[in-house]
Amino acid sequence: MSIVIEELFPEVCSLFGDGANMKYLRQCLPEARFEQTALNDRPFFADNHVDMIYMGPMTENTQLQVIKRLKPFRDRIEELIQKGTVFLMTGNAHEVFGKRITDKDGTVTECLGINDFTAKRDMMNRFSGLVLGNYEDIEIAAFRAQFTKGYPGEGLVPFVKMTKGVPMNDDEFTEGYTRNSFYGTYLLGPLLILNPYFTKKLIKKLCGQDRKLAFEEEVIKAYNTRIADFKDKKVGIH
Amino acid sequence: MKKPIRFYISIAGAKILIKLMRLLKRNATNLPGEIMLIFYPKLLHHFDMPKNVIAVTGTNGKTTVSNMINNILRSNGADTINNSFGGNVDTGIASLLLDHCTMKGGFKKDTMVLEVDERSAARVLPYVRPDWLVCTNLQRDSLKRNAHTEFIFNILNANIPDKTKLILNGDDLISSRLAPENPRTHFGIAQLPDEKPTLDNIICDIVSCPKCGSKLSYSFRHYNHIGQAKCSNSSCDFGSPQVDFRVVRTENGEAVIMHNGKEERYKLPNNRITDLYNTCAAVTFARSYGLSYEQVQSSMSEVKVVRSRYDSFNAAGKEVIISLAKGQNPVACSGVCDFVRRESGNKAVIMILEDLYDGKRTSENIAWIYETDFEFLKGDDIKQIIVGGKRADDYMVRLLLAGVDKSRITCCRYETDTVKHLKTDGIDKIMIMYDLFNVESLNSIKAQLKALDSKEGEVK
Repeated sequence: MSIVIEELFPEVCSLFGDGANMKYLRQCLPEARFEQTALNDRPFFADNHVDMIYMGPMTENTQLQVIKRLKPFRDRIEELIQKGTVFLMTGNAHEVFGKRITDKDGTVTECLGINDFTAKRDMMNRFSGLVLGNYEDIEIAAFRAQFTKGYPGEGLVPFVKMTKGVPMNDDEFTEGYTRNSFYGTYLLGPLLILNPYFTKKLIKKLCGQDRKLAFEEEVIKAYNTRIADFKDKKVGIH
Repeated sequence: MKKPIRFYISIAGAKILIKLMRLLKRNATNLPGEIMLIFYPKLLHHFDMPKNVIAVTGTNGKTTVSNMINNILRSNGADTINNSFGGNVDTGIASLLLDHCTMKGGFKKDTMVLEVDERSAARVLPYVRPDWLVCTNLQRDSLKRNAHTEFIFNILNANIPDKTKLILNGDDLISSRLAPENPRTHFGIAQLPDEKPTLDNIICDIVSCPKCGSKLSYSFRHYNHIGQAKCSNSSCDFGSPQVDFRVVRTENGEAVIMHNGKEERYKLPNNRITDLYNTCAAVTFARSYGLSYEQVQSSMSEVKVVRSRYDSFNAAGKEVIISLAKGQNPVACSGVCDFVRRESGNKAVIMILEDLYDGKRTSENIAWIYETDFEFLKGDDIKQIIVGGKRADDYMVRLLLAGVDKSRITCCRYETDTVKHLKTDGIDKIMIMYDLFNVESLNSIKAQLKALDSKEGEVK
């Protein structure tokens, strides 16, 4: 059976070049089936088998619409997470799966409540910068730019243990979280292109074997250049 | 109304500082305002603004449009203050005001034309209280600073004074919705005869109806989300507004604009769709402001594009075309990619797009290059793409993902080395795309290309 990857709401959930993640995965996995679900459509995962679900960052208003659209499928999403389906939620997409987002003025947005995660949002303060750290045995190098600070609760494992950069809150030097194969991360943009070794791990989860990436030599060269750049003490975090 | 003593101290201090800086041959376009805003944060609240204040904002085109408007007003006798040589954020605008104001905080000149950074609107618009606000468009810009168009829209929308008259782009369903209660005039461009619209952009910033959430149906798009659309839900009335000044065609280097059922013709500085929008925005303002067709037409005949934004010359028997591509601004950069693809003949492209300003402090977030339409550069008529800069490895990957043949891509660490890799055989044009902060490298590249004339054949 071929691998099935669903991209949720790409027309509104790709603010920072995030669509390139799926474009790249298509080139890495030419035999896989890719399903794109628009905001007004019924998600493919609701009635079908999927191996991976991807969603990228969105505006704050779009978050409200996405929560509304996904609410009827809350139990199905929980079932898929329990089963080990890969979820990759980048930028503020993963906040939708958490408990709530609280704005500085006290406004509370109730989210899907699937993961024990809360976010605090301040629209007058955007914080951005680079993130360097480790996930299992590999180094992750990527970027964040966001209005929220994120607070993972019990049962969530940090995604990246950071060595340099701007963390997702003021208390922990970590970035994002995992739960089974759910990856929730504020890292945004072409994360899979910037991090070829992470992409290899993800693909191994999907295929059960090591695979050569598209443009592997060039992607790894760019990755090595970035890792060296990030490690340079003269390179600031934002 | 009585003003605080700190306001007068700020004026006096700034004027001394500006004089000193000019004696030292430094431009005083930002620092005096920056210092005085620290000394007195409410500084901007207390100026007695000139009789006519015109502000120009928007993601792309605001510099060109504010320069055009300033030129039109000056050539029609207005004595204007403007920030064409200064900053467009609160500190730059404070410097301008401090430089030109009297010791009491008033102004001798009666007209001011301000380019205002859209992100800074909250710190500027409520205090300069523009009589007119021209918004060229709202499009995706630097993800770090500007986040997304909804964020910028909300900032602008919350800070436009009630009495400000708006000149808005009717083909932009984002900015045309600003301050709906304010008086407004819309400009736009019809689908032009022989126009080949750009429908394959990665970015479209508005795809669903802001009223009911249904899909928007575009009757045409010039590029990105700029075009005419309406809500696909038949019970919803949302759609593009009625346009008051519409470009209907271009002819002999002129834009033909329909207004009140009559044709008006204005010289164009260039033929790109963005130049058409800029011209139409400036004309719409000037005509709405009360200038006659003849007055505006005569002023527009003298308008030229600032050389730093577009330039061309011949070198080694090839036409060299230079375009500002604004790094970290995917819409502007995509526009230049589109321009490159539409140019006739075989082309070599030199790209120096790295944001050196950002690069001085940190490692540039290159996410924006994945929103930029480098796919436009994969045609067979583009024989070579040479990328220079620290992020050249990233551009290699991006161009490969765009479908550009690897044999046509050359990457080098330094911008100024790009010319060494140029192969001029079989090339008609050399197109240079550069970022604003790369002017020094651009000048070196230009000099190297010009030097090819004297030793033609050396670089092949």
